[in-house]
Amino acid sequence: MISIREFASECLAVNKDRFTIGTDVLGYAHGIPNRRISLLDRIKPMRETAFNLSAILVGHEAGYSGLITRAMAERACHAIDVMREIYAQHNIGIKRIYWSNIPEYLVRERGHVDINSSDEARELTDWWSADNNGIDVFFVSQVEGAAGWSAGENHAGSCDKEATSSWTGAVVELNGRDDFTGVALGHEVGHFLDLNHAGDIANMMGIELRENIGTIDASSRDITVAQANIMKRHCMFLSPCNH
Amino acid sequence: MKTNETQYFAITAVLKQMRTVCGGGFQKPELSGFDISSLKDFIITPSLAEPDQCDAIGLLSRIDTSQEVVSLLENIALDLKRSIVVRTSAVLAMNHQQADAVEPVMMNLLQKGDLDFQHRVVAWLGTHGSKAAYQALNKAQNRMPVYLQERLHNFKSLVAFRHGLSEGDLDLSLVVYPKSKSKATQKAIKFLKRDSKKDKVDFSALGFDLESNLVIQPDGCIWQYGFFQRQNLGALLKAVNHGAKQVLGVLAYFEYRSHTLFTRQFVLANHNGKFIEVALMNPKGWITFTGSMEGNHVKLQSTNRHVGFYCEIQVDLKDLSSMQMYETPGTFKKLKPIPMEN
Repeated sequence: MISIREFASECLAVNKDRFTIGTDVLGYAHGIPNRRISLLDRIKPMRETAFNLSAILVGHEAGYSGLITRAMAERACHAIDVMREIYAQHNIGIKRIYWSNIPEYLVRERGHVDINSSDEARELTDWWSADNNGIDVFFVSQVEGAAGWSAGENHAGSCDKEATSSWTGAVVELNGRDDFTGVALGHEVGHFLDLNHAGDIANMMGIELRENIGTIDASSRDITVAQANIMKRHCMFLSPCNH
Repeated sequence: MKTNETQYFAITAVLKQMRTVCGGGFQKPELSGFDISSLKDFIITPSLAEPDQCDAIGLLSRIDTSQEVVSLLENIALDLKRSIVVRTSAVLAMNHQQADAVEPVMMNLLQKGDLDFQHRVVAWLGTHGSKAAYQALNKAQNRMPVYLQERLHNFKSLVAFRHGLSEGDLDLSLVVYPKSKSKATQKAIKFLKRDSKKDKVDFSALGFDLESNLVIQPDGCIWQYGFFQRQNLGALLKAVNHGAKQVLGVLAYFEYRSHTLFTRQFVLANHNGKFIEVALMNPKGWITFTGSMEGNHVKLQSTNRHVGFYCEIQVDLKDLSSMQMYETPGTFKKLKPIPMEN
């Protein structure tokens, strides 16, 4: 039997006397996704092999008056939940969600309103890193020519978040549909966790159109055992927190 | 205003006092009234390779119309008429790359006292077609108006400081050159116009209020430029008198005596009560900072890597003498997004 209170307190470091399931336990700070969520299904993997996620809203301002609209922020929450569902197939959990934002003016100054290339995405991750132990995911309002960017083939993301010699985060756009954004998020984080592209568009790591196989879509949610094992070896995974 | 023979001789007389003008030259020699090509002899080297040999540094590239040349030369002539000893007059082309190249040279000359800038410094801001300049201005952390004004302020302050002059003694002209048809220039101009509208900055004079050294942004934030003792907060009070909603900027400087004698200078500006930007002049150019403020406590971290070291500044705005700066050679810390409470 899981005690949510104990779990939240000891595994997620939230105040056990004052917390909400949606915001503090699941981390959906911008609205609970409008989809069926089994609390047990979400929490169970968190007690296994799990990592924290650092969700960075690029250009977000108070009152959703910046580059990130309320719908986009809600989409980020939705995407995280979809990714949780995908990763949970192999008991990979996403524990704590750390939210942060980069003010709009700084995003504009550095020309990161639209991410036009892998280089620009990398530049964004080179400039910024959140001060926590989660995998940095930069949610941006728009990415040109892709749904996101992350570490390349055979190059996992770095666990040293101050590193500039390798990717220290993933970039995902919030301009797509809810479910697909979740798959894209899973895909980019998958890259960060050392996954290469797969030749199967039913797979979360399905390849892009340029390889003439097809384009992943909202239904590309498979993860193989081998892929799960690769991911679990990554240094961003935390010790199990069993209760 | 047309040049005339008197001015021609005045100009020539001034230029003859110089041994060498380094860096660039007049590309378009025809000038109504006289042939500017006669000045060629005085514009010897296009490079700044041997700054000690320079009496003046002139970067007048890409001047497409004669009027600007006329104006610049008139300035020199006017100085002469006023019997001001003009050993040299500087014309700076200040796009990003050029400014980076020129600044250390200028500082070096000023340090040695070899270059006597008095009363008239003409700054030429080159938004004229340099893709690198545009990119640097647009994509680097410097917003264009701020960037340009920082450059200018940097130079102006240094000149004033080294010569014991007040800033009011310096006549600083600033020109934005909108003639080029290149895409980069057009973009730059568009960018300027946009910011001009957005920030209510008058770019015809570049919004540089020589009296108050303040630029008040629409959100009430202030960019403050000036050269003050760290204890001198008079400019902040001025800001209040200017009707600013909030006093958000403060500027301070201190001498950095350990391994150089360059003046370090801070320009702080607060954005939205949370983030602060700072520019710090050092021999390697401007170091820019971004940081956060809690109450009166400011913590800043350097954001540009090209200077080769990481800086952190901590200061209590209520007590600027508390300002501390830490340098860590060879390291760079990434900027930190603002945590949001779940």
